[in-house]
Amino acid sequence: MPTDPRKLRPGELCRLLNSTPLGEVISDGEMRRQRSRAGHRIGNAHHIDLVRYVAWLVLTRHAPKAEPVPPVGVDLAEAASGGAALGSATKGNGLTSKQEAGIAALLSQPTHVAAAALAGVSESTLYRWLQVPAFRAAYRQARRELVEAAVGRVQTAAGRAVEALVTVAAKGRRDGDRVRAAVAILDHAHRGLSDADVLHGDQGQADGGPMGATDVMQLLAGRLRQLDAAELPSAEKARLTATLADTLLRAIGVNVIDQRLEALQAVLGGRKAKDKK
Amino acid sequence: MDADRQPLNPNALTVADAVQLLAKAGPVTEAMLRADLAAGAPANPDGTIHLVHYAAWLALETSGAD
Repeated sequence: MPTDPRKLRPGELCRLLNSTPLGEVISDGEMRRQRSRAGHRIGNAHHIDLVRYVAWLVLTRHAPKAEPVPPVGVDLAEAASGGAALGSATKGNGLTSKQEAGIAALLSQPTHVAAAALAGVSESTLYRWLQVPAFRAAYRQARRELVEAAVGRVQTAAGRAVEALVTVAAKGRRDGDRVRAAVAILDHAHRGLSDADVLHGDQGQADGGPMGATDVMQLLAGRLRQLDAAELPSAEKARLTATLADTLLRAIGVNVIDQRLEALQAVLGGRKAKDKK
Repeated sequence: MDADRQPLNPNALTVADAVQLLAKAGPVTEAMLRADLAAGAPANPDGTIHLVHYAAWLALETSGAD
């Protein structure tokens, strides 16, 4: 009896497809998976319609491709840290590969709709997964690791920014550049020390610390002298002097007000003497 | 006239005939088929499509896809 191509048994279709010059192209297992995915679009419980099967394959092949989910390619990042986060967060937690793809999509897409599309599941499935404690925990963990990785990168960048400031402060071509870099360093150092004091519950003067108020004052006084000697336009000098003075005022506490005045008087006295000459 | 046309031969379908046939089962377009042919889908020497060969190629191309 001739075979009806619109009514093939799965085994028959498999044999037919594997009989072409392309050789074996599909296994029984893959055929089962395809039938499971395609459902009634390609036939019924017993038969497959070759035409509908081909149409389904064409549409599957040309379906909008979910961007490859790098193990979490979030360019945010991103890929390396994201992938690492996902990998460690979902390993051995009993999630299916589809659910892991769902987590990756949630991490990389701005909306749940987009995440569902990327993971190749319906939005309702994604919401249902989000109700599953294991899925939710893995998603939360992956998200936390992503954030931690991002913070780590910011810290690294901050380290490089400080290095740049230090380099300019020491080797800047122009006096103005060196002074500005020095002011920035001192400003941030002061703020950092204040923050550290708050964190450690120590609001007192950091006599034994890395940079006490006296040290800051001496440094600033030195910078003022350097600025005074620099060949800069008067307006620029005035602006930088004001900045340094402002930093100085913020750098020292009221309990060292005498020292501050003394230092300023010394600098101003030196400038007056120089003017008289 | 359509009524005068020969029945479609699934072993040698023109692209237009293949699209007409497959479009009844889903939104398949001529551009999709032409893209597949350009990507290496098998075709008969006269450019027609052998439906089973094409199905085999598609099965190979899409195997493992979720």
